[in-house]
Amino acid sequence: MEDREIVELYWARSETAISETEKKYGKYCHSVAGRILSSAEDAEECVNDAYLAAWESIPPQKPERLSVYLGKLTRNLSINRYVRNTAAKRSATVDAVFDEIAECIPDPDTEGDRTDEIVLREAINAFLGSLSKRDRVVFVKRYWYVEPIAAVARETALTESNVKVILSRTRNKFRKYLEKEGVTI
Amino acid sequence: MKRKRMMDSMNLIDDRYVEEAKPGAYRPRRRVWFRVATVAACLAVALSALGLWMFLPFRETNGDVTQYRDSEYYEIIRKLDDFYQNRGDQPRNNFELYVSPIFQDGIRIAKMYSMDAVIMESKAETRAAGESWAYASKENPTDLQVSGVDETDLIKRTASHIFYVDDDDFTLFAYSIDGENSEAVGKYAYGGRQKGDYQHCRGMYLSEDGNTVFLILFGWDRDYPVTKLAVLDVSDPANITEQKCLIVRGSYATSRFVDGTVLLMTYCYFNKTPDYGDETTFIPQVDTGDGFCGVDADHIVCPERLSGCSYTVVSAVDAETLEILGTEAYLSLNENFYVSGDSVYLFRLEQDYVGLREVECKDAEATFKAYTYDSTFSKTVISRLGYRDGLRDLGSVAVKGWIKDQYSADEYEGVLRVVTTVDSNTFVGPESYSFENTVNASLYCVDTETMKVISAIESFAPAGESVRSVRFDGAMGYVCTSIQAKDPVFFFNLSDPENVTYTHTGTIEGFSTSLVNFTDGYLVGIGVGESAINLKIEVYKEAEDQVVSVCKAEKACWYSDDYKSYLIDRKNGLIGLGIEEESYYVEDDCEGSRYLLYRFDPESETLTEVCNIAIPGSVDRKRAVYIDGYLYVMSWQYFEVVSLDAAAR
Repeated sequence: MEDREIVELYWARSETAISETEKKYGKYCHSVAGRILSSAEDAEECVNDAYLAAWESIPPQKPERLSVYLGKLTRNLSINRYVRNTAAKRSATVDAVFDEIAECIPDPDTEGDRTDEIVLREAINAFLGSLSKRDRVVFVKRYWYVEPIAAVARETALTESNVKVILSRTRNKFRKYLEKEGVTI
Repeated sequence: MKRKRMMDSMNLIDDRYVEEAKPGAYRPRRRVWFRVATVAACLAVALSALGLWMFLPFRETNGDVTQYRDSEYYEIIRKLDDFYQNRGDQPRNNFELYVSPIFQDGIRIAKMYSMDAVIMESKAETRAAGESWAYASKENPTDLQVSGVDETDLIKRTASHIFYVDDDDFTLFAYSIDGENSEAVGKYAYGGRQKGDYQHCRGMYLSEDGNTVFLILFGWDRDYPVTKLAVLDVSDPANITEQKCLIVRGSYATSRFVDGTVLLMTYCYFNKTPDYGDETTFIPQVDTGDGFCGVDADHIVCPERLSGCSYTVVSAVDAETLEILGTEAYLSLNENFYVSGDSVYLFRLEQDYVGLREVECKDAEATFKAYTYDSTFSKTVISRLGYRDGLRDLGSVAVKGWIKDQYSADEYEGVLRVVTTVDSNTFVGPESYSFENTVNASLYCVDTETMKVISAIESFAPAGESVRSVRFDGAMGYVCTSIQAKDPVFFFNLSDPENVTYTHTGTIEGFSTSLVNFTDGYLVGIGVGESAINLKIEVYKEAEDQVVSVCKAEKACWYSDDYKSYLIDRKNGLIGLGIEEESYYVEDDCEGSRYLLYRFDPESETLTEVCNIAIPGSVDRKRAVYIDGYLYVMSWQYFEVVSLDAAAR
């Protein structure tokens, strides 16, 4: 079923909207949650919460790319759950991603009121637009999809050390870009 | 906190970049050429295989179902056949299934991922004679909805020991009750994270003599979900052993323990188009002791209109022998259950549609044709299943709306009281293809003998409000509704079910997710305050034809809305629950995971915090019990005994 048709089911408050969503994007949502949460039960709960969030937000939302919309809902819920989980449920991969992305936080000298979300969105996407497709894909796979280095390397036909170098350089560029733009987190 | 904000800011990445990096979406140049070369080399073979697969016709499974007219399941077969037929034209081969819909409107077969339900025989030796499986111990810490009908919980106790299920560690622990000298005296590991292990415990029962624990576990047998009832000998808590078990193939829904019988509710799914010549493909199978056979047709309840081909199965299991005494299957999935002293009530949500038609709609982007209804509304079908003297279906009734949980229903003096959230969607018009949604709350009284509605208070809440919590207490009913973070609490007088009256508090900040009938006519609401991260515990009473709030306590934190996780001690006026403060997950502050205990004094009508300690673990799994001046608190890998001072007693 097309995304448009599934969204129409939501608008019509049809009971099959969720089942069609799960049929088409269930595995995708599980993979997003599963990369962040080590517990299958937690991942399952987050995916179910994402379906509920989709049900409650559509309408009035009318997403054009349903997979990305669901992916964002799932990602958000999973990260929130991950942060709330105890140490025993933490993952070395996800902790590493948190540590790495923290390197991009601009220098404390630029401290001030937190940058408006619209400005931050424009800055992030302008920066990503300036990268080569390869570097951008590596960056998004690591920090949006929270994929392990090995998985990023495999999917981009690069070696792991290549990926690490690309990420390190991109983080450095990103931090300098945010500082230059006066962005604060 | 900044780390999390930075991580959250990644959500601002444009959709096109997220899609670009989706697994499988990115093809490095050299890989693309490599695959093109590989596909070219295999093209001839692949095309032949593809052609065969595309046009090889599907097996004709059933044809004319009248050939099964002599089967005891013929009525079920007819209904299932109608259900599958009305799901649309069935493709005859894969070409029609996958390719034709590109060129014409088509209907795909919904291939549900589901399992057979099979009951597998217990394996271990039988229980020794003379041991009791009567009603749960008088020290039962679980606050039961119905007296005499025990419910599973993570904590049970005797006079000398507390048993706690630490589901994060897949272990049942036994603790001695000895004030500050209390300690763990035994444990039993029931599962793990390895493939084949049971991974979740749905709770336990404890026999009245305190010698036996009945664990309910969930796991997988290859690709099938299974429910295991494990009988553990805890007569010596330091040496807990499994005596026997019953394994039921099916997803666990809920259960109750009444007078030596376990009422087990499971879900049975079928994942393929049935072969009506083979009952195992569409009828739940039961182990009768002489092998497996289908549930008798007389014990399968079919609704007039099928919304699916899955079953809700209710089994009565002798707790002593694990013999299955009876089975009743409902050809439908029932989302909620309420069990009274003599009946299981099953609640099934359905949608009703009025006025199907085709309309031409347009939105900002395009004009398109769509099928729509003038209106849709939800309704709940309530089925009554008697369980005394064998399982017997006693009829059903439909009411508008849907129920929140088991506490939304209660049987009293032959009348079933039910509170529902009623909602409807009315098609506004084709210009925007939109629906107008209305929400409210209703209360229905049903005569349980005739299963007919005898009175209804419909749409009693302010417009747009849904039911947040319900509690019945004899002839009284309490309902909290809200639309956001404001609620009224309604007090219903149900002493005359045909002339129901009510009062309410008016709008107050926050809403309750659980209502508890407490001491001396007071009602306690546990819920949120002015925002979702604000716990509010509020005490109400009815006075001079109005309902008033007498006191409350608030704290900035999250809490569990699982009623079983609350400590409700009416005798000592105590209310306890686990919480998580914001610092716990924002700053990774372990001190932010805590257990709170409040005491309500009816003389001064005050609510006082008497204990506030840091404990690990999720809020849903924290448990505590108050015994003789001590609070025993349990959670993930944690056990502590707190002496409450004289002022708190």
